Amino acid sequence: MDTVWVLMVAAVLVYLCRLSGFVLNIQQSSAALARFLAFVPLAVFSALVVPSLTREPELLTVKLLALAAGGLVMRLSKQLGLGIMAGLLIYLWLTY
Amino acid sequence: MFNLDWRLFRRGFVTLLPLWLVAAPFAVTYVIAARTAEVTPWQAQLLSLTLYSAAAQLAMMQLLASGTAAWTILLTMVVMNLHQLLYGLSIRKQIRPTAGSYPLLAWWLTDAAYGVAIADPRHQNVSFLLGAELSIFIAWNLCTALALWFGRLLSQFDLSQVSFIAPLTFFLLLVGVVKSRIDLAVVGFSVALTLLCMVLGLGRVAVVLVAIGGGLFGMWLSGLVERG
Repeated sequence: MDTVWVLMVAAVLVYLCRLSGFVLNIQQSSAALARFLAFVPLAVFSALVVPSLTREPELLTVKLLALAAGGLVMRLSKQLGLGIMAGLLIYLWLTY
Repeated sequence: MFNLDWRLFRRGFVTLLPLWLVAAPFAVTYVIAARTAEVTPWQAQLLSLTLYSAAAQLAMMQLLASGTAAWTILLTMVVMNLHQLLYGLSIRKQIRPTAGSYPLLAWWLTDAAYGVAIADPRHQNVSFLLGAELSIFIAWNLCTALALWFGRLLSQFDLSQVSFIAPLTFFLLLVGVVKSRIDLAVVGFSVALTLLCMVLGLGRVAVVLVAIGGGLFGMWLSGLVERG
């Protein structure tokens, strides 16, 4: 198998996946589509968080505490960066 | 093509700086996997520039190393990135970029850049999105290059702890966008669906399945509430 060929075709296919959402001729004015798309970020973020919580079951409590701390700091400060720092520091401290 | 607001572009770029730390351990893991798959350094870097997806690149290296057939590798790449089609639809709806910006926005599109741009109405702007996208693009390619040069040195350090930044960031973005009980119900449904996908061994396609399932559930529930 020619590795370079596989790499390049894979890159083109992934690019087409990304581009297709921008260029597909789907009726944007549909109220149902608008409602559907409004909930996609919520679903995607949930799907991206859950696997990491289940990966190391012994660290679940630590991760939940770190997430809670980060969430609290972000809510109070309204700064995503501060929330990330707070959550990471709590996580590193509890796993030290 | 479009008018760039440099202030928003810089804000987008800076917002994703914390995720630069996440790129490092993933890049080291990717480079090690690339060596095992006998992919040359320039091929590994070229893949970071073109395919530009940490998870997909790592999966590809593992599949190449195990001698998987080309068509299986290519199908896996499509399946792992199909959910980004929904990102494009969502961005067109919320941010309304001009058609001239589509090629660039699509090339640099990632979960994190999409997340920070969509989650906050103040950030729903092409300039902010481009800044966020470029930030992670530079981080990933810089870390790939550094890992290729200094991989053996970096692999002596345990960088796995800082990878917690990625799920932490997405959790905080989730906290920022949940505003109603319907949103909470969609999150609960999506979490359950994700767990089901993992139990059924559908981990690689979980994101696209949950994106569609969660979106449909939210659409149905909000319609029900509206009618009721």
